Amino acid sequence: MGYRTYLLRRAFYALIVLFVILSFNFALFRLMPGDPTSLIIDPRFTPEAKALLEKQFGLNDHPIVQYGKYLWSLLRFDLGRSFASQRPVRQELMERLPNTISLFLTSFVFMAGIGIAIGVFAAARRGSFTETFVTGAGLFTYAVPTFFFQLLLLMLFGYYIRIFPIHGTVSAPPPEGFWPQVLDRLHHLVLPAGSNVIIGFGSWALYTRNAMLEALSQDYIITARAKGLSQRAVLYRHALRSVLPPIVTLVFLSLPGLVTGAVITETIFSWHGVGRYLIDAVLKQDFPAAQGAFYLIAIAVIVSNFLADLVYGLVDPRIRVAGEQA
Amino acid sequence: MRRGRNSKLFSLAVGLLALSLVAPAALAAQKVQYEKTGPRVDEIIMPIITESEAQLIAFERGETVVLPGLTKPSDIDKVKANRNADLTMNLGFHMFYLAFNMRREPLSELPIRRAIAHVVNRDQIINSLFKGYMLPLNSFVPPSSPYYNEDVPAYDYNPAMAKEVLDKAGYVLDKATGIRIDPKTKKPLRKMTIYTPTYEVAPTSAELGKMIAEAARSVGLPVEAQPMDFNVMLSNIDNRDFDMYVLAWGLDRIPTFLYNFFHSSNDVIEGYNTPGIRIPELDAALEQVYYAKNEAMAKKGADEAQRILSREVPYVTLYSRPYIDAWRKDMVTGYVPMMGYGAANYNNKWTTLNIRRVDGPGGTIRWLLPENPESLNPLTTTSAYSWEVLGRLYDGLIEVDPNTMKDIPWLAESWEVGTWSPEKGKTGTKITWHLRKDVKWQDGVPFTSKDVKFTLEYLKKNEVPAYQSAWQDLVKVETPDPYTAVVYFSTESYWHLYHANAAFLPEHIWKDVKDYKAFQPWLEPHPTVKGLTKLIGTGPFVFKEWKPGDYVRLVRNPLYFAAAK
Amino acid sequence: MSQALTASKAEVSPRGSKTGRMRSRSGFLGFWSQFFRRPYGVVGLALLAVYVILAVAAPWLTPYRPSDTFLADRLAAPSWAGIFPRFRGVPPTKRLVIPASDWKATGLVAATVTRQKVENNGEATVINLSPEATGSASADLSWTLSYPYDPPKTFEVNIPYAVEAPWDASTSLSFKVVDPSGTEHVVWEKTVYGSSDWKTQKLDSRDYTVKMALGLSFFDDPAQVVFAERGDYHLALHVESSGGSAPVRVTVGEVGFNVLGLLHGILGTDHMGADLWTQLLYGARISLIIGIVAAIMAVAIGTAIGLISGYMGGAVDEFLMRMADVFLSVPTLPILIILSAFFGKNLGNIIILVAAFAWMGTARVVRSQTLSLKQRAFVESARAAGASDGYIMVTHLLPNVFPLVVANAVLMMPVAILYEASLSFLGLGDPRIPTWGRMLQNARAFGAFTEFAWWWLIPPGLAITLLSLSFTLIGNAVNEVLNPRYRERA
Repeated sequence: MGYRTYLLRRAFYALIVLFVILSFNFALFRLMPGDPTSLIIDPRFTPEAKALLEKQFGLNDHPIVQYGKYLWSLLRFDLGRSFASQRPVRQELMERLPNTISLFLTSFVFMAGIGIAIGVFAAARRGSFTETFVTGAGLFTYAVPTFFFQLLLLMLFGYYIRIFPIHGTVSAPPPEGFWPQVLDRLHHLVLPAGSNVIIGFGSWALYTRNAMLEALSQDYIITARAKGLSQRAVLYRHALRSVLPPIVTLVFLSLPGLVTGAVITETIFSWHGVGRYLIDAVLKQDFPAAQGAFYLIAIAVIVSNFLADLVYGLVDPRIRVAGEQA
Repeated sequence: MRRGRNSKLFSLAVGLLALSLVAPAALAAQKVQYEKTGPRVDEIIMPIITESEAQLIAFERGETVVLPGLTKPSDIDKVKANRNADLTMNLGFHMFYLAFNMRREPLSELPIRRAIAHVVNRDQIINSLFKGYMLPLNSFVPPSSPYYNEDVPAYDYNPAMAKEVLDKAGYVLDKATGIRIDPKTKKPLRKMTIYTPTYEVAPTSAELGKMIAEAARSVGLPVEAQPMDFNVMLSNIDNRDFDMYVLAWGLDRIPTFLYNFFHSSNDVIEGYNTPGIRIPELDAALEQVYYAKNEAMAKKGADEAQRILSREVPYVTLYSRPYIDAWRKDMVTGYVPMMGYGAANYNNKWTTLNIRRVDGPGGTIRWLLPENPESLNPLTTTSAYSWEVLGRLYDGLIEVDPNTMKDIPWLAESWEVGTWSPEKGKTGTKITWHLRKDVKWQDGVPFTSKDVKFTLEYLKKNEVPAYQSAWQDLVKVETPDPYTAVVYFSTESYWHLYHANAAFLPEHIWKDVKDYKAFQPWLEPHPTVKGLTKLIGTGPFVFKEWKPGDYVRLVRNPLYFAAAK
Repeated sequence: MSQALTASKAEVSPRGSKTGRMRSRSGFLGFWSQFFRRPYGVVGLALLAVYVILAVAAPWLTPYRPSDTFLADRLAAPSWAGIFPRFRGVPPTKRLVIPASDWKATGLVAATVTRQKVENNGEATVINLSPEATGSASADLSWTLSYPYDPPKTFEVNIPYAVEAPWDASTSLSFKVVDPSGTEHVVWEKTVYGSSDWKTQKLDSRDYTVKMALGLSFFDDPAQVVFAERGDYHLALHVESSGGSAPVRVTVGEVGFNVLGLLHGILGTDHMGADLWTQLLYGARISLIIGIVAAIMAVAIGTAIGLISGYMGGAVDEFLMRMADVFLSVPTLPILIILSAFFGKNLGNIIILVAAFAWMGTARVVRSQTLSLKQRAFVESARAAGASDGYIMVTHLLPNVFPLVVANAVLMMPVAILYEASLSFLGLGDPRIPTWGRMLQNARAFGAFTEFAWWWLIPPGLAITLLSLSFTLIGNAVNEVLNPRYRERA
């Protein structure tokens, strides 16, 4: 099976997944008990006014009609209006997306960077303290609930030793000038992104170390060593190059987790992002908003899964065939 | 009008307050100094901080000069410990209550409702859940309202009386089970549930439900509290699928809420008469309130309605939350405590105008916004936090005196309430506004009666749900001259005076807005004036910037008609 | 953030192995002897044992229930925190019942004081006043309270009393606290005209009436004002009657006096004065139940689907694996958030939901194992002997994939626990049940940060961490013992 066929197959599956999620999403949110009028509790908001509002939200249409409208509008990224603010959900999401992306990218770059570096280092020095550290950090990642660790950091460095901001993405108002603004943003990023990095780098390091060790035991590396190549050259020129493909794949495989984790991180650090929008919307039973946020997150996850498949197929030809079974 | 200008009503006899609440006489008797001009600062930065603990820290650090609407006892204690904090407290129109479903056995029986009313221990609730920072409420109209009837008997905490009421009505206690026997069916009373919001949403309400249920069980009534998802609860209430529930109302000065809550016409699915009380003599009294020709008639109807309600017990009212605001007195001064709204609420024009820095005129103050406003469209937003911003941009035709609670002419110099005949044999209300001649929109265009006419007609044409009370009975608006607007309503009610007092829209901006719901005035630049958006009012502050989730920035309106000289 | 990474790690990957395994287990004892050779497995097991003991013995390890509130004041620190300077002198909870015999009568004017048994109320103090002769009579009772602590935040007084008097008598009762420097704080005053049946006057320092009696404002704190010093306080009851034409008899039951402490128990209290140690213990029960039940459910679903998919092959296989793909592609935490809001927040739903989104890894592993097993001779021969598909799957394939399944189940438990904790933390947990996630959520929402209430935040978080850790260690050890060929990844 060629790469193109493989790719088409994966794309087709991604579309199926998307369709299933969308349909499921539709059914679910129509069945939810919340409606726009239940958010409005005001003695002077009469039943007639409520009925009017329901009509405006198109809640009285036949479900099939609603479903058709729904699919068509999602294709155009028209996510409807939030019940709570009555603004277009797309616009509210777009306001928050830059915040989520900046948090996400910062966390990701540092987490992967530090993790890979430490992993390589640990592979180079087997049995050292670094290796124990890496194993420990990997275990830490696995056992410690992210939100607990983040709460601890927040209490310690936000409230007790007040060196980092405890809410928001920028100071209100931000300082004048470009660089002061960048610094201000970074200052706000330290706790949320930093906690993600500390929690997450361990598994990267562990993965890199294991991949490196596997590579180092390969025949060609042993040959290279035997030829008298320096340890450094073996490590970085040969071994590292051979583990890059799985690491690149891991990059994409870890994206969904990061997107998902945004819900908790953003909630804890009062970060005005998409994840927090989802949880706020769910708690308020604002279904267009929750649906829009979920749609965006689901697309991010599906796309990154697809990219992972794509890269994986590219770097590891075996998978095109084995993909049948995986 | 939801959270709009006219939710502030009416003269409130100050002396009345101290009578019935155990309320501090000193609070009622406050006589605050304030000016009717302003503003006195150049800029307000409103940082958006949603976590209550982060808010406290911001206050401590001076990143906000005010903590508006404190409700958590621990927060209040924390603020009290700050030497630079000044706390203001004002009685409000908040009401927390337990409602009965009178359509269902055995809650349809008066002795059961009375017995439950007698086992509710308000003091215990307030002390253990609110550390004493609430005021017990034992009437259907909060005592801060001029329509409060002090002669109505109240149900005090008295379990012995509860037992007596039940015994007399034949509900005999079955000693073996501890449950009373229904004299009609000869069977033990069925289990009754109190719906409450969950601990996550409203921990105090959930706890309170539990306390009431326990108290009821102690007199042999099998009552249990059931915390549930807030929207499920509201939906159940809407569909009348409940025994009892606890919830709060934010009322206002107009007593028409009595009509909405207890008139038989509102006993429909999703109507506000959730207990399902239907009593003709009550309906008559409530109609007298709702269609009052004047204040006196409304008062008479309200008095009668409260007498009947107290007898029938469709609700047990529990407590009322006062407005407690904290101020950094080392940084600002000039905030004006105000009955019914507190010192920091946007309905309190006087704080907006009078607040100033202690270190001199002008400058910037930072004013906490506890939630992201979500929208700044005055016609669609239902969020109080949006109004915390919008309220500083707009003026009412009438404002309210913080000391006497009397109407103060504001954009209108004067007005008359009269009648007219919409058709033969019918009487409608006619309100004539005489507008000030020196008021300008923030872009320099004069504010005239055409704007009044445009706004009311725009609301009616678009059937804006949130403003239904303004347009549903509106017939027409006439503008005999630029400074006179005559508003005609098809029904006769004194309250139309306040219905006609909207957050007015500038005609020259809004006349081109086809879809009011899609309009986002704060994002569109003003067509002619640089630096402004299409979000303009006549008020003391001009909207500059909103960074969602982070802050809102307002600056002084240089064209303000009431600017300090 | 780590959710997806950790979830993927919970799958025990069979990649690289095409050999499968025959029945090579050396039995139950053999397993354990192998297991105990792995020190981290033993540590994990020991940790788990501690949790199980705590969870099972919860009712014996704490005298309270998780729902008991105001055992002490809100946010009371643990008792042992008293060794730190910050908590030195902080008051513990005192609940005193002052027996009638302890009252010291002082200043009797036309009065006598005796004691008497009363029904349901222990021994009562009886004050006989004779105002009919002199016009007025009074008595003072006093009791000394040693209070060597910082000011408390809350105190409560209960005074049961009854008055028997002629209709024309007016009898006044008052309760005051005299502080060490002699200042009198009148907390309560009451005048009874004629007689009064038994009543219990409850006074609470948070009451506005108490604040008014003390001349304090709404925002003042009576407890801080009255108990401002350390030393001996006198609680004094004053009874006075006048105008009566006959003797007056005032009966005062056992007076209760409580100070809500700011130090309490093993782990202090939360914002409602509930015992955190109790919540932690009962939380262990919930977490264990969730972890075990959800993991077993997930693995059971995964095993069934994996077996069927691998054994049947063809369209069934294709369909089931695509379904697993779809489930794997759904962002787990967001969908759990949405579903738990939809299905209602109860424990059963949460367990089912977590299981419904955690079976895919097991299914894939079991499927690939089944694929290789079904080529084996023993399966072929069973088929040839006419055994049904179901029979082959249950009796031949299942036992062979079982070791994989066990390891998967153990490694799935911390995942399930973390999901539940995350949901509870986000406010989507079962509101009626004390879980660790909810403790953390409460700590965040109700003031642990500004008070620096570490005793509220750290224990539940640490409990989750260690429990996850113990399952992980056990899982890894089990995996190494049962599936020695698949251990290329730690």
